[in-house]
Amino acid sequence: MIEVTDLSVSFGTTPAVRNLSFSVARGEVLGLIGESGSGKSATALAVMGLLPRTASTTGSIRLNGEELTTASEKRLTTLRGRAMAIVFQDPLQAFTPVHRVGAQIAEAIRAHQRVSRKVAARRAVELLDLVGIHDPHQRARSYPHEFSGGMRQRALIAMAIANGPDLLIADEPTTALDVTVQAQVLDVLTTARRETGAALLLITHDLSVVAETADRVHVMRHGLTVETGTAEEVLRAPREAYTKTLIAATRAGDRPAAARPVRTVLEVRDLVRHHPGVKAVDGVSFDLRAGETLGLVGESGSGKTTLLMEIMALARPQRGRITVLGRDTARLSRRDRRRVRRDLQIVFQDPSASLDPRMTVGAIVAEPLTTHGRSPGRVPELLAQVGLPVSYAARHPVHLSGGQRQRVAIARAIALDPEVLVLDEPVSALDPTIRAEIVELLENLRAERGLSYLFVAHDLPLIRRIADRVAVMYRGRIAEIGPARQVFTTPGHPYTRALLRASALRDGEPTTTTGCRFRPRCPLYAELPAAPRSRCVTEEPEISGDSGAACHHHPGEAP
Amino acid sequence: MWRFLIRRIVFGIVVLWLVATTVFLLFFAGPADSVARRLAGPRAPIEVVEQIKDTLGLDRPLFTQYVGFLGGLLRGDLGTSFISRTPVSTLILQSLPGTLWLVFGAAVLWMIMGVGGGVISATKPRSLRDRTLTVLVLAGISLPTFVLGILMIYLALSVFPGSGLQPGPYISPFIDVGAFLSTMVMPWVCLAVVQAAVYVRLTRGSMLDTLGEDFIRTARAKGVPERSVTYRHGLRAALTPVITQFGVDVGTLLGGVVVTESVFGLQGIGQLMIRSVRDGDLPVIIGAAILAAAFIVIANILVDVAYSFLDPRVRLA
Repeated sequence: MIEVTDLSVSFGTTPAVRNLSFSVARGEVLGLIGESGSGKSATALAVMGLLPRTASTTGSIRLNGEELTTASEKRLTTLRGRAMAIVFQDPLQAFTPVHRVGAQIAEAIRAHQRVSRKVAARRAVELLDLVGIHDPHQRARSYPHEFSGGMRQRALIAMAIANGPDLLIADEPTTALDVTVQAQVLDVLTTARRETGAALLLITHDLSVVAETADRVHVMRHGLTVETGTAEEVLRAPREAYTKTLIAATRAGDRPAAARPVRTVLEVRDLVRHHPGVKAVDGVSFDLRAGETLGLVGESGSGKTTLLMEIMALARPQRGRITVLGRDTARLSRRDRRRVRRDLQIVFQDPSASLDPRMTVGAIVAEPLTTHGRSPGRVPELLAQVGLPVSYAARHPVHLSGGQRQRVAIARAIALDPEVLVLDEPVSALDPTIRAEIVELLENLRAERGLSYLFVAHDLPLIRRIADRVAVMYRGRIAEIGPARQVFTTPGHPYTRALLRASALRDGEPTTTTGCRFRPRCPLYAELPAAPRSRCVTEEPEISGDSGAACHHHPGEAP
Repeated sequence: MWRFLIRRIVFGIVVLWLVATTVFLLFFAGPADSVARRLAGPRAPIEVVEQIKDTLGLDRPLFTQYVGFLGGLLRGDLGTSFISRTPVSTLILQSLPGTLWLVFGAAVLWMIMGVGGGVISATKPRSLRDRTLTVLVLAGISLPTFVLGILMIYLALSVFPGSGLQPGPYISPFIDVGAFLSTMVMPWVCLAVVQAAVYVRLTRGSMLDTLGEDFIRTARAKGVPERSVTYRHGLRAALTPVITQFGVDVGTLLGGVVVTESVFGLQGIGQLMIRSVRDGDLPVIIGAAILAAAFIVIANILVDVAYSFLDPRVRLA
């Protein structure tokens, strides 16, 4: 089907792919694994003939026996989308924002098939239905920004399979997505492959994705092939050290239970934040105790970020109460608010966006110190603490890698010796090995300084490793909260169970106004007899105490 | 949408009221005698000053004058010109068609040249044709309008007298299409060249940004021909900032295209304004200023509405 021999790609003098050879047969799935910069994506673009003009390619790429490296642009245009199709990584940017989703899928159909607009539009709706989009008729008329990340990724797959391609390339199809959505998207990809009988080239850095889907695996690093074999062989018994590191970075065991924490540093009671039309946070209560890590998990749109922003605002919430270090945020004077801010710091997800590109690293780390009237003399010490050379103080963020930037962001956050650190997906934008390093740094800092972490992540293995307690959010409320070990081993809420199994739940379900908000997606509810069901419809389940699940029917709750 | 429109219109009216009030205070605040003197000019005989004081009722309390002024505005009564003794509204209505035709004709031309040039530049950056366009654009931006205008008049009258083009006051196309065209073509081109230069740059920049986006790659990946990639995905998404600029420019120019009108003697709002400033014809100055403000306010509302059609992510609420 597709045969790549001795492929080398370079951008100017920088080689991106070196002497890569692989082939994928009809119906087969090849996993191409590696961190960013390993040359995976350049390989995908080379196959599609979509590399920028500045790239130069040698070697051979044959699709159904036809050489692609020397094919004309015109020939490639006819092949693209019909013989070979690609699902890109970032579904946010992959659709033209000004056209309707259905129209964009129909466009792909009409680019290759002589059918009327009407037929193409109908086919687009069928494709959306095939990839599991709820209410496809309506949704085809939506614009890309009205779709969630998971729905966009599904729609991208629909577009890629519109013309029944022989080769389907999926470039990091699940990286930007939450766990539940990841599993669904992988399901859809498998379905799509089955429907079209295409060969699938699955490019990812996530070994768990490969483990479930791929027949064979190809590990890449710095443009070179490190190891290749069947998925079973490579994941079970990796031969190369690098593959072992990758696997170790993905797997993670339970975190040893921490000593009993006592003092409560952050207390949230019945917090409500409604935006017009959206109940972003809808009655959330939890405690964060000194020295502990509370993991906050949930899909995108579950209200995690809004919750963090409400806490960081240090203002009177719409409803409910937030107490930081014993002070009610609704009653803070301007001076007290400043003082509390010193003790409550935040690290954001994307360090390239959260660091001012015009400031040097030294100036960034010094800023909180000077703002609060302290001497910036501690900057070298802080850089050393986060594992950066002191000489980096003179550099600008652009000259740092993603991991180093996140270290700078952490140095800035701990500059004022805070007690509580809010971490909003601090490692999800990083490569697995780097991610492990940053997590280790965070763990060490917490142990050394007795920090308390409110740690938001969608990476469940990570939360399992570092969190003492876990809160699972669903549609603005906490579905379940409890010690990490308990939540992960004996989850009480059906949603938590679905999250852990990462089993398929449909996207875009209608919202409920009364009773349990998880009901439309709940597997348990679907199987209940009518009598116990009615309670789910009429009564919103609550959690009492600091551990439990918001479900009327979980084992701990009276039936 | 409707709520948005109503809010914007109310807001626009507030802006116009503020402009009117500012203009009023600028000219009418102060003792009656000194206001009248200021209006008449330093060398005017005392009788003229007294006469102005009488006709404008400058002896009345300031607030009464203000109410009278606003009431006049609402009725469309902008007063009477000191110089020609004609109502200001008549003067404006006489001058407006020339400016309207000039601006709309030139707008069509400059959008075709500017957006077309920008697309050509952006699809092959750093190519010969991109470089050539860049140089032309620089020339267009640097060239003062009046130099270009005078050059065109010279060419039309002395070098190519057979072209039939000539400068002169605006003639309605409903009276004489030939004469209309022969007077309008040169001002159109003159105004459009300078504007187009700006639009080539704007479109090129916006297109280059858009063509670097992931969705362009997606469009190519599904096998859409390059032409459709450029226009349906690239230009369509790149158009928003261009349209914004377009609305603001048209609004501003409708308030009076001073230089172009003067060079070609078009007798539009711009020339009316110049003349009234030179003559100290206060009611006309006030009328023209409020008209210009009204055009800018209306253009901005239209731009916002156009935005919501161009970009579905923009919600008018």
